[in-house]
Amino acid sequence: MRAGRNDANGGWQDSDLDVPAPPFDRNPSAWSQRVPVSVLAALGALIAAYMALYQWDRIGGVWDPVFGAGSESVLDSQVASRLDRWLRVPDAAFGAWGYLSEAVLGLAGSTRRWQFRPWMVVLFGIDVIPLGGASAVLVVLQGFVVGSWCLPCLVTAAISIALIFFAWDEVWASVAFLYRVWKRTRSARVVWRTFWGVGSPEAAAVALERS
Amino acid sequence: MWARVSEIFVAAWMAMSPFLFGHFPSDRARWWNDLVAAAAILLVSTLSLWPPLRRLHLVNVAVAAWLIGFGWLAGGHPAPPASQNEILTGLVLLLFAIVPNDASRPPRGWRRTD
Repeated sequence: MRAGRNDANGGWQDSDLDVPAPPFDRNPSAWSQRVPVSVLAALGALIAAYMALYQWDRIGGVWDPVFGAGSESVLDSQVASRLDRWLRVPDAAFGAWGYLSEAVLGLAGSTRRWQFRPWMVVLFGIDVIPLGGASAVLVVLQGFVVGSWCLPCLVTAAISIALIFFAWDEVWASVAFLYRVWKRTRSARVVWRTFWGVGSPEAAAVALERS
Repeated sequence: MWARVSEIFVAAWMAMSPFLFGHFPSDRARWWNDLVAAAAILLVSTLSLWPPLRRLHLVNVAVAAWLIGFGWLAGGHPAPPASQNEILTGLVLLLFAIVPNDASRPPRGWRRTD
């Protein structure tokens, strides 16, 4: 096969996508890991959308076999109506969008995105780890502030925490790759370009070395 | 490609919104806002399927910001369903607008070009 002009940058083809990502001996960008993330996040989006239907007065009650009317008093609480004033949409609808964002960012990119598109993995990581984690903590704290509990809310909070466990290794692999590019080149420019998915011979050499 | 297709579905939704949410005929700003946004999304997403304009989809980030801002400011509190629709549709558009066309392949700079 004739060599293309990008071969100094690794010349990757679609057949080279499923490889282990150091420091792991597995591929954290594999579909086997990302599809469950997206399915779980989509489930969170559905549960949140169900609660939003109640806040929009489209349904008269919320199914909660544990706390009964507790769910409704959480969704009708002062905290919820203050959030509604800021956001202009019910907090559950905004939450549904949050889970949808995790599902979409989980699906975007190839199975080698930890190398090819670190920006995408880092954005996904920020969405799932600090934002998802903080929202789960806020949902639990809301229970203490309002004085009632809400099973669907707690289930979505548990989903947020579970997503962190599924997502962290991919973010780690991507940041570790950028760090190895930095160690090799000591060039902020190369690291910056690698972050945004621009190939270079230096970054290709880092990606090809076994560690 | 799937991100562009999703954006075109969002455009179709925005084009239907004035009818689904029953905008008043007198509410011209909202009619124009929703229909112009739909046309802009459709145009931007379709043109960015042409390789020389493959980055044009980033313009949809601005359209999304516009929809969110218009819905938020014009909606007030409590925001009517039409405004909530603009905010939430803008948020959904934002998710797709940042995804590159060939997201499932190596980016061009890394790819074999022969």
